Amino acid sequence: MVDKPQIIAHVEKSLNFTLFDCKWIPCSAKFVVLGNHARGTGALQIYEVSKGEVKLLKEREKTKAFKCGTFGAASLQQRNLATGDFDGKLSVWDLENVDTPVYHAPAHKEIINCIDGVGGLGIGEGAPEIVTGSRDGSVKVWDPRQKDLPVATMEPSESEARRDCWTVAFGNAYSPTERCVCAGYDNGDIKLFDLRNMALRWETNVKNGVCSVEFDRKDIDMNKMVATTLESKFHVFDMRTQHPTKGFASLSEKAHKSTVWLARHLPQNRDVFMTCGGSGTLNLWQYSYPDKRVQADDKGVDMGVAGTVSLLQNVTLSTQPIAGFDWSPDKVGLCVCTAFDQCLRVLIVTKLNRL
Amino acid sequence: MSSVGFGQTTKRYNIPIEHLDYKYIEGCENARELEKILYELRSGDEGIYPELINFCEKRLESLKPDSKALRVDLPAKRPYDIDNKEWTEITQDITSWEEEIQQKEEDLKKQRQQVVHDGKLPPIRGSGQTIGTSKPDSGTSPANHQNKPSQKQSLPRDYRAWDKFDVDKELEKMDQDQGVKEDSKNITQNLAKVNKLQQEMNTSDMSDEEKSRKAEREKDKGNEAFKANDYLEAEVYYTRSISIVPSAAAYNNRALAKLRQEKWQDAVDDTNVVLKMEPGNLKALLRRAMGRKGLGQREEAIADLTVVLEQEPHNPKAKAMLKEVQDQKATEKAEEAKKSKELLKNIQDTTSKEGSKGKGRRMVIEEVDGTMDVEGGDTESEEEEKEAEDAQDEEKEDASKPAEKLQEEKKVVETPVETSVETITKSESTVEPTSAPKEAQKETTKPEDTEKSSSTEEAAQENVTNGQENVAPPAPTPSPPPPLPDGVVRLKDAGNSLYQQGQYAAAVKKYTQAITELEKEEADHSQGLSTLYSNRAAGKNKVGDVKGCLDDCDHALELQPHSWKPLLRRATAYEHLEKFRQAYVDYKHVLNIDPSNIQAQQGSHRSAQMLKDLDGPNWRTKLPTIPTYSPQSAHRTVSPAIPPPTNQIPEPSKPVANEIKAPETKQPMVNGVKEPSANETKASKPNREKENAEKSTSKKAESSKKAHETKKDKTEAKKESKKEAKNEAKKEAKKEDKKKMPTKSEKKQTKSTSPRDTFLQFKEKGNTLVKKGHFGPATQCYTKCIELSPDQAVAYCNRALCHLKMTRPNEAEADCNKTLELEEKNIKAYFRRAQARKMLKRYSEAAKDLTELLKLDPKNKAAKIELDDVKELWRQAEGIKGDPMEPEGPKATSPSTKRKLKAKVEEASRQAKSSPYLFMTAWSALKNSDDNELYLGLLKSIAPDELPKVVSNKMDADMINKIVHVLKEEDVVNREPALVYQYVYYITKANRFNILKTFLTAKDKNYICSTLNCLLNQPCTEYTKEDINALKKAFVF
Repeated sequence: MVDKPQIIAHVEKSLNFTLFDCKWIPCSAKFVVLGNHARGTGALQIYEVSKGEVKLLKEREKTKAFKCGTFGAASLQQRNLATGDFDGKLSVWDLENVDTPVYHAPAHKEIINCIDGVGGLGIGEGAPEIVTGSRDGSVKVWDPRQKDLPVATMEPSESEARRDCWTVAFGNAYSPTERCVCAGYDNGDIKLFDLRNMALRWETNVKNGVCSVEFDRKDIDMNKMVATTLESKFHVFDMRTQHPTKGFASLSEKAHKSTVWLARHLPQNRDVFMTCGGSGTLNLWQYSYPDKRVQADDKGVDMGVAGTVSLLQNVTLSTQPIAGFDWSPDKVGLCVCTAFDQCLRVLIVTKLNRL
Repeated sequence: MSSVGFGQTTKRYNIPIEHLDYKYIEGCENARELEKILYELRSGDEGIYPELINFCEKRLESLKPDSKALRVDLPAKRPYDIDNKEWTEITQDITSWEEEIQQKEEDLKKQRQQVVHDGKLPPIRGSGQTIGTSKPDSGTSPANHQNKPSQKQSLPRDYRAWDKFDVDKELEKMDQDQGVKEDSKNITQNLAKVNKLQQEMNTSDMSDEEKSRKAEREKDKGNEAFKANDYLEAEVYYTRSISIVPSAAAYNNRALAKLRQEKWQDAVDDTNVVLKMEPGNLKALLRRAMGRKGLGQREEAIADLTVVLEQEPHNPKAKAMLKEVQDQKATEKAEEAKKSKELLKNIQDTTSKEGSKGKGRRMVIEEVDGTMDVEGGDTESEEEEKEAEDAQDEEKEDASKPAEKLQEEKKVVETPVETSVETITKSESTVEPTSAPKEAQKETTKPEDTEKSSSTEEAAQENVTNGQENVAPPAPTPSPPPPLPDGVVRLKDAGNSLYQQGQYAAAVKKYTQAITELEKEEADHSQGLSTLYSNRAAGKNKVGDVKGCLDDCDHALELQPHSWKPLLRRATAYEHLEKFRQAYVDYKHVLNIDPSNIQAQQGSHRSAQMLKDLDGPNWRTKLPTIPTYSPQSAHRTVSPAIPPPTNQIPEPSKPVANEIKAPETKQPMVNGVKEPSANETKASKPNREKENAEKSTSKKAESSKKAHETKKDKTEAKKESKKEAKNEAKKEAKKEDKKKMPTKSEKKQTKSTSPRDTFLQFKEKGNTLVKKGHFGPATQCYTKCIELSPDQAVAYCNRALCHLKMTRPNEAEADCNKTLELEEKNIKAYFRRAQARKMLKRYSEAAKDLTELLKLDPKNKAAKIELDDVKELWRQAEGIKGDPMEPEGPKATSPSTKRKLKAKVEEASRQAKSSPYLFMTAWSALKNSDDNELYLGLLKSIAPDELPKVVSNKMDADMINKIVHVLKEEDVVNREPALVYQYVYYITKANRFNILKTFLTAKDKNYICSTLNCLLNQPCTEYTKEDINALKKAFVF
């Protein structure tokens, strides 16, 4: 197979702090790196890719370490970055002026593990919203126009055990009213909350802690979702058809021979996604739909049919887990990833157009 | 297998222990079992057997190549791992994107100050609501009901929104809210969801950049939905995209989505929009044809398809569809010829009829659809890329895959087409007798006067220089021909105008009548007949009757041996039939007659490529002889600048003649009888006159338009980027014959620009051609470069690459030699020469080149790989050569022993670094041979500074002697003095050197000193005189 995509390490840069997340700034050749300095302070750096190098444009040190960030709820004109930190604080930064946040809320009691946004950048109908998941077991939805209070909270009742929420993702935002949040927990729970009905729509357990969930698209009638877990497995759910008892059809696949830290869909093709492994490996997958996506069970109730995934490419980049990965929304195949070896890497994946 | 005995199973996977065996693995067909065995072997529990693991992997790979057990994580590619060309392409792509995006960002920043958001965002969700993370027992809990108010937020607010308020939808929504149980009706629900998607997007507060991004994104979503076969959803997304920013691509894709849902009329409407935006969009034309076919508008469909096929004669979809439509049309005509008029008017009527007609045909449409699938799903830009690629690969692919596809499709359609042709001819024969006698009585027209023919000449000249195949067929009048009978002329005219309207079948009929008419005449009308045959051939070609076309061309050529039109038509027909040899010959023949005929140039090039792929580099030997053509032998002299004046379009003066001479002809009536179709009546006299009159005035405009089209066509065919100047395109197209017959005009062209510029131009062109895989023309470009300035190494070097790619190693080597003459240290040239020599099986020289290269650029990975490869081949070749010679070689240095030695040297050179032992054994193995070259090879495998380490304490006086001897004998002293110096220097650094040198005889020492003296004579900066003297001292004292 000469024509399969190649993953090329374009630029590699060693930094002096622990890297947790990286995000391309929409409509630019720049990206933001978030992390933790050795003394426990937060690091925010902006780089620009230029002629085969990355140039550091801006650097700020904040009091608390950053864990995660997103541009998902920002308009293209503003391009504000929302971050979650180790202290449980949610902040939104204007990257032109990073000294003080334009929005901040004491969101959680403990570290914010994960963040996602929708409604900005032309991705997703409806209001711009940010969702955060925390070690305190709650998932909260925020509207940057509303101070201090979340617009929705998903948390267990007092009597229930609180699980560490590791990952959250928006989806199903195809109309101004529809919206879903999916959350993954350390005990293998995956929960799908319907924000329109304000109800738990579906839940399942995949046996291992869920490190990352992502819908293939946030802004369509939900189509597919990938959930990655500890112990080298990931699951792909067909989210189009929900069976009353069986829920969503899914497939699972082994990968990386270690924790699968992340799954990220290619913004230009929803059926291609990258998974990042604890062994410093990257796997590129392609999902193929089955001939019929819906079939009736013996009682005549429709249920979904899972497709198949095929491995397009696998490479080793590092010896440490790759914890941050982001596809450029503007350039097909360009991506940046960060690993715990304190390296950031700009990669180029070729031939994605031909898939 | 220590832990378990015979008959036991392994701990991990419970595999019987005897299954861990070559024989078992070889016989095992079960991939799953093999995987288990492989895991077991890899685990090492039963001991480590690398060979067996290897064997097992290979076996598994043959059974199940995508097995998970075989996945290996490779390191990510680095820029230097990638083909240089590809990498520069990638980096160029990225840098251009960087610039582009920076510009966009600047714009965005400017807009940021301008655009103020005016709170059109949806309201904030009702705050402070909580969802429990565990599922309530019943579907709807009271808590959820309490939470419901949040839904009210979603009700529309302003008046405009109320306008959009759809009661049905809201009811549907409520229905959905009520029950999760309704999931069972998922498909309908999905439809409802799609309906709920807003068709119109509110973009009032968006900046342009945002709009375009949003539109692009909606289109992408549409594409994805399309790929997942959700056509309705795809259509909605395209609609949304269009509502934000209308783009041709979105319309075009929406058309396809609609086609899939059989919304024919809508699809046609969309394609019309596309064609308004981008006239000549082939995809849109193809889709419109499909839509029109669905609507039953066959004539229009055929017209669209012919346009497509004119632009892209190899488009298999268009071909197949055309045949199908014609088939449908023919059967329809035979059944109900009179209804065709109504059919055109009454669309609904036909669609219902169509639906009731055989479903088998529709299946064929589905097939064609299937092939479009992939492209349709892509974004337009990608499509364009793909198209370019398609075009690029056209020649190669045509020979292989699509050819098969085509054949398949042909099989599907073949029989119906033949029958259709039959029916057509039948109907012809029924019509003929009635019309023939009438026309035979008619007066003959005056011979066309000279003025007319000169004007025709002009027109023809224009047309030909534009390279456009003229729609209307020729009426040659070079030497005063016998006047054609009036009836024949009229029939021919009618045929011509029909042809121009795209009614090819009807045109063919007319020509047939004209031919039968003319054949009855006693006078020699060979020329006229030839033209008629040629014209009919064109018509038949358009109808898809390739065989008939061939026959007609043959007829025409029998009558007029060297007329280029029928030749060209025959060539295209041959090409259609994939008889590329004949096609090539015909094209060449045309080029002999008229070297500036662009169609022929392209055609010959195309067929040449095809033949090359089919028959390999020696394809020319298999060609039939190309007929030679001398201008004198023809009726008229042909000057290269002025192509043969053949009449293409009905002359402007002709209608006048018609009016005067035959005002009372029964033409309209005849037409009415013959052709009941609506289009045919249009072609009746008044109209035609008007047309002709218009033509005369608009001829120039038309020809310029044509020129434009041709250029476009050309660029596509030649796979050039659109940016390239049209002039260049022209120049390039002419290049081929430049070699044979340089014309004055061309010479002027080259002279007009400075040689430096032209050199660069040609080089640039060559490079782009190479990138696109067109090595033949690229070679010519470079040759031109070399002609312009023979001292530029680049051109030679690049030409060498082309030769290589075309597997002409000899030429490649020559070019490389030249390059290296001009530029000593050209790495590429070395590499290419090595490749060439590899092809020529001169492995030793290839290896030499590569080692040379590696000396210049030690990190060159490609060269290293190549070197290993060459060595491997070398060994193999030696093995093959060596064996039969063995009995003949009784000498000590018989080829076989030499081979063995060589092999040993190879082995040693590869591993010498790792083990001094290997080096020593190799060295001592050479002792019996006197082959200095082998010694040198071995020596060179070690870097000088490695020498002390590798040789360690095994060095002896003999060895020192030998090394110095070899270095001197093999003339390294003169070639690479620095290297010699280093070797000698490091000898002195070896262990025990001080003791060793005492074993050197005075003679040896003298020899060494003389060698070192030689070094002094060499110009080299690596060492100084002092260094040499120090070395000498080290040896002598």
